[in-house]
Amino acid sequence: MEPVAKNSKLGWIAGILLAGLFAFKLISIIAGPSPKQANLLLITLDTLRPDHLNVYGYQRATSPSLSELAKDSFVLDKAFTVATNSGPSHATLLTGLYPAQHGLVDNGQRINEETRTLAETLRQTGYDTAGFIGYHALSEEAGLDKGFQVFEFHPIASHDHDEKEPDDDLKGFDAVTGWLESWAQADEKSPFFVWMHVQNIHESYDPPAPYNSMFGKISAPQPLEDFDGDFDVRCANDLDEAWRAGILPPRFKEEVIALYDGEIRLVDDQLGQIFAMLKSFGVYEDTVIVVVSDHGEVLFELYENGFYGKGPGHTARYSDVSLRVPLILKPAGFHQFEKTARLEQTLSTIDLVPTLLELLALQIPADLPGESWVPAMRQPRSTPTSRKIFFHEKPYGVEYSGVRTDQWKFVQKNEEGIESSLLIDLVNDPEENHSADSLSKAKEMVVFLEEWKKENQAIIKMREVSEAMRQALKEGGYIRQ
Amino acid sequence: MNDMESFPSPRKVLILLLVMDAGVGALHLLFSLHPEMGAFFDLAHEENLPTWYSSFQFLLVAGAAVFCHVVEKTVNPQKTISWGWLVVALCMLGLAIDETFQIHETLIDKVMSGNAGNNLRHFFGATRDTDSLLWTVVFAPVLILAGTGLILFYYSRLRTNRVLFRFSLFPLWLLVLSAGLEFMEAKTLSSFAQDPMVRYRQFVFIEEMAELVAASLFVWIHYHYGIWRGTHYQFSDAGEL
Repeated sequence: MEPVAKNSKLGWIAGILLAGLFAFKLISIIAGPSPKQANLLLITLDTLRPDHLNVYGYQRATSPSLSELAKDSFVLDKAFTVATNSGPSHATLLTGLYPAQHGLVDNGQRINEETRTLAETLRQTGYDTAGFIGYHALSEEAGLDKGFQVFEFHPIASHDHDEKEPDDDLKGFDAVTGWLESWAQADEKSPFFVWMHVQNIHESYDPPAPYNSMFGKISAPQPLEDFDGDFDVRCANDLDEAWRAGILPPRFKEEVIALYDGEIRLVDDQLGQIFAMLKSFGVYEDTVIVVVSDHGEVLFELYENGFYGKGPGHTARYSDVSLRVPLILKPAGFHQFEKTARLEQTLSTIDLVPTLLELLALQIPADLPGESWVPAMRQPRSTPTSRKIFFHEKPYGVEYSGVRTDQWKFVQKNEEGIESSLLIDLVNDPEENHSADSLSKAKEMVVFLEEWKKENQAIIKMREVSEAMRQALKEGGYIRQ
Repeated sequence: MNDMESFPSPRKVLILLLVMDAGVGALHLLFSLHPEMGAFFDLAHEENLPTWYSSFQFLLVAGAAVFCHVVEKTVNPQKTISWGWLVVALCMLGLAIDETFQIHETLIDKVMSGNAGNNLRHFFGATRDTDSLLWTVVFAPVLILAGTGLILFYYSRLRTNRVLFRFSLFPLWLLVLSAGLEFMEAKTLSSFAQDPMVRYRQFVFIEEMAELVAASLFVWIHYHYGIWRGTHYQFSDAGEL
């Protein structure tokens, strides 16, 4: 055979072999079993402290339904948020990016146009998607509706008791159950992703009967010394004013906590009905359920460090009661985890999206900063590997960033160019009263923070809050100027 | 074939084509983000100036292949290999039609509907909105066979002009690069990163420019071969397939 003909023949053989290999691989992918996809119910309970849930050891019966859910779930003992403001924190829960990466660093801002949300990904994968929210800063204007076919806003007047309508407390839950009923009745259905944001627990702590007196008798509005007008413990504006002015009589603190717990029980009862509904539809087993809060709440803790603000509230207060969140994660039955358990590692909400993607049989994009918890869920008895927790946001224009390890917490504040910082030794000062006197540790924490910023943060551009959003936030009592 | 001297020189043709490619690239860079007329110049869009220009280029490639066929037929009427140029011309004509009518996009939409699509998306980590970009992966076996055929055909015709043969591999490499980038675009758009559009647009620019330059080089190679073959017809054809 002539060399040219021989070369040509060899070339064809090589080409056909390569094409055949590709074709074989493609056919094996196409003909292979399709990954089973679970439903996803993401419940974000605004302003819920884990230490007020029974599953985290609370004695008052605030949360029997969540305790029941926890039996089928992984319970994260030490989960921390990346921000103490609802907007940035929720945007992270829905994108898997840090606030400076998704662009929503303060309530009233919007995530970057280019940022992909979990809902968009799931919608593109064929999920039926629906979002139900109860707070302005999570609305369409924040861009968190991206990817949801149905997106409903059911506000609860949060800060002024007198503005609250009787059906405010339940309409968000009714909307979710209504949607789930429609989904269940549809002839052809895809898996669902429902995001349910629950605003009830957020101040004002003002549940309806019977929850308003379930855990204690509540005083009627009454005059208070040095207080302008009648003081109503159920009104957040009154409570904030009296507590911050130092004129709140101690007896009201118990009432406030009883009301806060009453809100939790109201929510728990409603969630119990939703879980029962999923069971009655026969889809509870195939549904991944996540219960998490966006941040905790400072009730009446007082800090002598001079850095944290006074409660009640949460914004820009980086004590652990603000940063620590409850996190209950029920996998689907077919995930076949050996057993559910408590995860004792220190973990961050930045990890939720990669974890969910893995549970929903989707690839985790390499550019997500978080890590899936699934390996830890597969081997919960292995030695816990704790993470450094990073947080960052710009509440009301003041930039905060920080890092928390199991022993140390370092918070930086930048207010109009003036920088200050706080270092807490969490082991020797769990009450977080004193700034630790360790320059070397502070330097080490600064290095952690700088490295993290370098790796994960885009250039932060403060976005203008629109006038409509500013007005809505002002009317809701979220901003004061 | 002494009249070959009256044809424009291949170098001039190549320079003209590359200048036109650069012009299309410049229009994209200058105007693609314009709110009203951006889509008309955007390399990432279909049914606009770059798409029509790309179709036109593939028509030129097909025309140049027909030119080679005519020259070969004239130089050596006994040889049947000249019909190979017509096969190449038909393939390039197909690409020109595909560019304008997005046939491969329609085909991939059919493949990606149903379970096959779910499995492919899951395997490649892509989302449904990037289905059309996965065509290079799904049709890879066909593309490999077509590429093999083209390389071997060029080898059979151009090996006596080693420089030209080596140049013929470059546009093929550009098309492989372009196919790889299209897959990367699908991965980029499926990502959660804050700047996927920025990266996507960078990939699109490189990918589309690679396609345009590859087509220009194909025109040049065919045309150059036709001129060279016509000029050197008196030399031996020994060793031809």
